Amino acid sequence: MKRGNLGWLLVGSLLSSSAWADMKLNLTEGVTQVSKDVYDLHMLALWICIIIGVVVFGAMFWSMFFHRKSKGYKAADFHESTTVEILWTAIPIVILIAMAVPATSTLIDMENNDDSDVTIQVTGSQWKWHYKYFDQDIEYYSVLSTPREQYENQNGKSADKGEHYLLEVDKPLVIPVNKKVRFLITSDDVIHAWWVPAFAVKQDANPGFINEAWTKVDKPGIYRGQCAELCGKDHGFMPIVVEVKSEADYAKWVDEQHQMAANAAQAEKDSLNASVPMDELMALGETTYIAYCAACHQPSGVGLPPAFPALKGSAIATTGSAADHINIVFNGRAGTGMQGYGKQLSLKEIAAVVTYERNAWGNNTGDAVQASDVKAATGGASTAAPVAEVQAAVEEVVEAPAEDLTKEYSMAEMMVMGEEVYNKACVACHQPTGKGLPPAFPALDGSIITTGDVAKHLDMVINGSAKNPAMAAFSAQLTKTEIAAVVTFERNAWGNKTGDLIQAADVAAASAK
Amino acid sequence: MTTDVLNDQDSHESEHHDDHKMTGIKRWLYTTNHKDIGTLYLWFSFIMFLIGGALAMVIRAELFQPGLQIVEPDFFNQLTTMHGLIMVFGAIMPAFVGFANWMIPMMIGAPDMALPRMNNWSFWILPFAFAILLSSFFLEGGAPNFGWTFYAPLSTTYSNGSTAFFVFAIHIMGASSIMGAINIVVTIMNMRAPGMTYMKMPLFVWTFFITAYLLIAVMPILAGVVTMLLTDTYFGTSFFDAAGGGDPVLFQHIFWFFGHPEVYIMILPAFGIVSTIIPAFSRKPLFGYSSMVYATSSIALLSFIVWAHHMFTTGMPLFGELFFMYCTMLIAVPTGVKVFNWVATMWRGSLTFETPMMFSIAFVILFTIGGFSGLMLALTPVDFQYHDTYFVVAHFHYVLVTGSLFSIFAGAYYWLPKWTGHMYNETLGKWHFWCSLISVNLLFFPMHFLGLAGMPRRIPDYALQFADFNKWVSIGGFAFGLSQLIFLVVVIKCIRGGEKAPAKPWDGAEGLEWTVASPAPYHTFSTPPKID
Repeated sequence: MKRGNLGWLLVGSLLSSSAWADMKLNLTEGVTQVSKDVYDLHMLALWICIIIGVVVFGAMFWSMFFHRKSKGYKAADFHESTTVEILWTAIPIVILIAMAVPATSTLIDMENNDDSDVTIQVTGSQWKWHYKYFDQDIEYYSVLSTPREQYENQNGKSADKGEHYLLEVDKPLVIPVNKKVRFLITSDDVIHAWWVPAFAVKQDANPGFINEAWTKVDKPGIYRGQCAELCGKDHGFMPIVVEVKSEADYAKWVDEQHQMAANAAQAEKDSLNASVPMDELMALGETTYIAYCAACHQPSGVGLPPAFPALKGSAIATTGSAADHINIVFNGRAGTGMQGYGKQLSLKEIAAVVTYERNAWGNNTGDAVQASDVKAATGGASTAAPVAEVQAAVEEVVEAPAEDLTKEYSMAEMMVMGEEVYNKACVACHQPTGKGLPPAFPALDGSIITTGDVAKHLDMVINGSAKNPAMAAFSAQLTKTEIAAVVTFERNAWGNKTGDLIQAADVAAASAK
Repeated sequence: MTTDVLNDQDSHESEHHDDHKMTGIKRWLYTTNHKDIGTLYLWFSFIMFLIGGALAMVIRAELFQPGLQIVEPDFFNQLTTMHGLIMVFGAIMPAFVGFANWMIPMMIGAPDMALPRMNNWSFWILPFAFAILLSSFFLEGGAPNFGWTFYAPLSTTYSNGSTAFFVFAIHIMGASSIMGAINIVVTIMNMRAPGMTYMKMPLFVWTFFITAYLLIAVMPILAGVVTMLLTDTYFGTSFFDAAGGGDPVLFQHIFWFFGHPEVYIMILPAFGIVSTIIPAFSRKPLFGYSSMVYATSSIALLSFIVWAHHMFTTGMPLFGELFFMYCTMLIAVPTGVKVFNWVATMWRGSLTFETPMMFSIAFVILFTIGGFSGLMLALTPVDFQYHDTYFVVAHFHYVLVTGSLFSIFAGAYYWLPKWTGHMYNETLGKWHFWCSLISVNLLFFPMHFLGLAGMPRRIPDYALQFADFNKWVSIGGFAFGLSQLIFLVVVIKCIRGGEKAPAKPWDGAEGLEWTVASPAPYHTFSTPPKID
């Protein structure tokens, strides 16, 4: 009975041609040279397997049909044959070599990350992607845009699912056609994997390390993929969408992004002086909360303890000070799943969401938090808009208590301070051993930069590298004393025994050039 | 291999001796008898198989259609994690240890395992390990939700609080496995009947011998990596945390250095079982016995130098990718030799198709399909597309379900007459076989297509283009799950009664186990048989 039903179902499904029409059975050929090579390799391997399968299973079925006891077949008595055994060891080796040759050349091609035209840093975090264009000063988060009511159907309700259900985002990654785009892939929390099947690019995003991948797309269009490494609760809800534009459209898009960033920065500035009424804060807070916080803390604020604590009735969102609350939202909490939203949300949005959390679900504190409170509590501007980030960084340097550039430190002091700075700012790429992760992140131990001309070394740390966009300029992030310390450290740590002692004044002089 | 055994004397002997069996629960708690312990292992693994299967049913129910209908995503992750852990450590591995306990002493003409008290201990800590693991479902944050591969930092900094329970359970399972493996090695080395040289041992014994060495080699590595996980989570170390100078990829290297040999731990005994059954029902000796031994050994050795093929997307250097690709492809050679040998054993035999033979033939074909997808996965450039998709899920289920599990069924049907003294019901056995065969392919074959079309594994909800296949897969899953209840019925019926089994119910079977009565007396081979 069961067997009959199943068989009927199988046959029925196989025969219904409509089922085949919109169903994909095979690997995509993709839209890059690499993805086509990969597809060819896949088909080669598949056909080899099919042919071997037909031969081997054919022999088995021949035996099963003709060498049956029920047909009176008498068993032969052979149980070895050196010739046959050598043959069926040697032939597979030849077949394997035939597969290994094209596999090797495709792989060498895939791993050649040189000579890229555009470099984009891709950062995974629970559960969204962050894209940062190195040469363009553009960065933004890309989040699933499928509405919750489409996928949360536990109560039996179900909204109609859209065409790109779970494969759509608010802001896709945009890249130009026919340009070699290099991705520097990393993560803020757990391991994710950035995968776009049409490009045959899948690369793990490891926290604290940077992986490289590249693509060169033949054809403008929209290509979709998903996170491919289990990264926690919403692993299934962090898709990747890449929009490939013609060169002209891409240039236009870049300009638009700059314009939008400038507008956002202006809005951010304005918000500092504005006093937003409570109901408006609550409304904005609720939308922001649903978009950014509800996945973990739940729409009802009860969270999913212990990993995602409740906000409803919690000390942080009720009796605790608003400033502490703001700080947690802005900077996150190290060692937990709570990420910092300072980079993702504007000051106004953070103010609104904090207000919402302090007044929703019976947390009736009555606190109305304004953008200026957020700035006061965190001591910096939101970095949601890239232009604002740069301005904020500049402001921060200007506003910081004036650094005493004349103070001289001893070698020992500088080495201790330098190591601290190195571990904070440099170690992720150049590694604790100074061996780096070549070729993207060159070694400092024994390198020409750290043992050669001091001026060049200083210039590299202050202004970044013109050739390698991964080497950022640190002038805005570190004080002059810190730069002096870290350069001293790099020139004297590991095997670099130059004996050079650099002071803040030297850094000031180098920066002025 | 011819054996000449004075079995009459042996079976008479056992009738005259007192069995010294305790009664009731004490018999099972205190037993040091290899047959009792084998039975305990087999029942334990079957219960775990049903629990792990029940979790899989919930997974398939959730994936029956797009949208989240039954479970929350976090609970879904707990289900996939626990399904994997229970099936690997609770169902497949203990089932094979059960076979080893029952059959190895009888096949080498030994009275029992070499270390009977340790044997008792190695079984009885297992239920506690799984009680701890399963109890984590009742923790505040729930059971482990980081995948059975428990990659850091998802299982450390970002864990839901189940890490300590998980680690402790794994430690106990590991201790159990190591003790079981030491026992197998010591028994085979020291207790073979006079005249049974290594190259006269049944292939079944050889595969368990090699597997036991693999276990002794890699279980301590698993223990090490879970301990590092524990200290990273609770004691402030940074083995796998870049912020403290560690590396999350280091975790994967250590885990897979255990994990890849572990894969062979779960398949080499299966090779041994089908290499016993196919000659029996082909009425023809196993083709290429010595090449089988060498192929098994080379697979075991190669398993230590291919681990990073699970990690091609972690950002390995080109040289590493090439090395691991070539080594992995090389495994196809000895594996091919085995498959060809099985086919050659059947070739010009005199075949009959009892249930054990049916499961063995299905094993050869379906395991080979799993091997084909394994070969495709070995090709690094294409692995970038297959990795962490349903193609991989299809691959390892073909190898572990239609491979390991089918061999376990084959072995169970083959030796049930020896274990219980009754023939199993052949009609029900065939029903079990055909229902399993059809449903398992409906369950796992379309997963290849899903993976190629781009569906990642371990997701609770999926895009609409994957909907049709997922529906079929779920139907196949439910059918496969229900089919296993037939097996339960067959086994219970067989224990309770049925046609009386002769000492050697299969006319083509070879080996010392068929020289003793059915059911096998409580003590066998108190005087070792002599082998020419």
